[in-house]
Amino acid sequence: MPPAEAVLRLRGGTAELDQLYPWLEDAATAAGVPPKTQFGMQLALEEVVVNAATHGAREGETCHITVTFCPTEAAAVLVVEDTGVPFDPTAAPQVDPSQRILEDELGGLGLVLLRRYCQGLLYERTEDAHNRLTMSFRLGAEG
Amino acid sequence: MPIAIQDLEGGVTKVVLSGRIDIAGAHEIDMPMSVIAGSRRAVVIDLTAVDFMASMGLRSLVITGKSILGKGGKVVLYGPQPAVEEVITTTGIQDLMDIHHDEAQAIAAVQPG
Repeated sequence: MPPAEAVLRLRGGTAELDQLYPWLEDAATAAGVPPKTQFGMQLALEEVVVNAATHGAREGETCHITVTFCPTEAAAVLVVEDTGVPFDPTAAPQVDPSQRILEDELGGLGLVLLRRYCQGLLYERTEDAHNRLTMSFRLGAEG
Repeated sequence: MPIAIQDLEGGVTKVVLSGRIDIAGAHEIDMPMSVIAGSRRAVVIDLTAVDFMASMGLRSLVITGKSILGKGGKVVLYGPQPAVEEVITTTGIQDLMDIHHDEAQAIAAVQPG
């Protein structure tokens, strides 16, 4: 029987974000995800969740974030759903990271990492107006 | 504490980062890195003992590096492990701060004069 999926719910704000790593490590290790794959998952998840927590909330509102880990035989899948303002990282323009660094655009760093470490990236705006980003990571992938 | 600061001969400062520079680690290094950025002009950032670094840690590195370079100082990275080095090169940070794997060369690269 495959390992069950795991769910983490965060109520926005950066204070709760320290839960992210222990939660992911427990869930991914229990599912047998190799350390190299976990490394990329951690990089990608930090980027997406921190971005939602710090930029997603509308004024006076809380951005609720739900992370679901779904193990399959071929891939580890993370789904991040948040109640924040619409943001589609897959639509952001692809640029040369060196240029970004030199031109003072720190915001682009994380998107470069996301594209490098996720083998699959799917964005949807749900019917109930949430952002939903599905990221898949090959098990034991070389990158 | 994932950061230690050592003053070397010749006006060089070595900043030794260690462990996981994840969200919690980045919060811990942010303030000391700001102090370094504001007060030192010849800095080697030692990454040999860092086994994970994600976007918040990278931002801290970039902000520190740009601040030192912007004031006419010199800063390099020393000894990242392969997985961490790949993260650094993926984001282009090596165009801002050279990566060295020999400590003496890293120190010589920032030495004033």
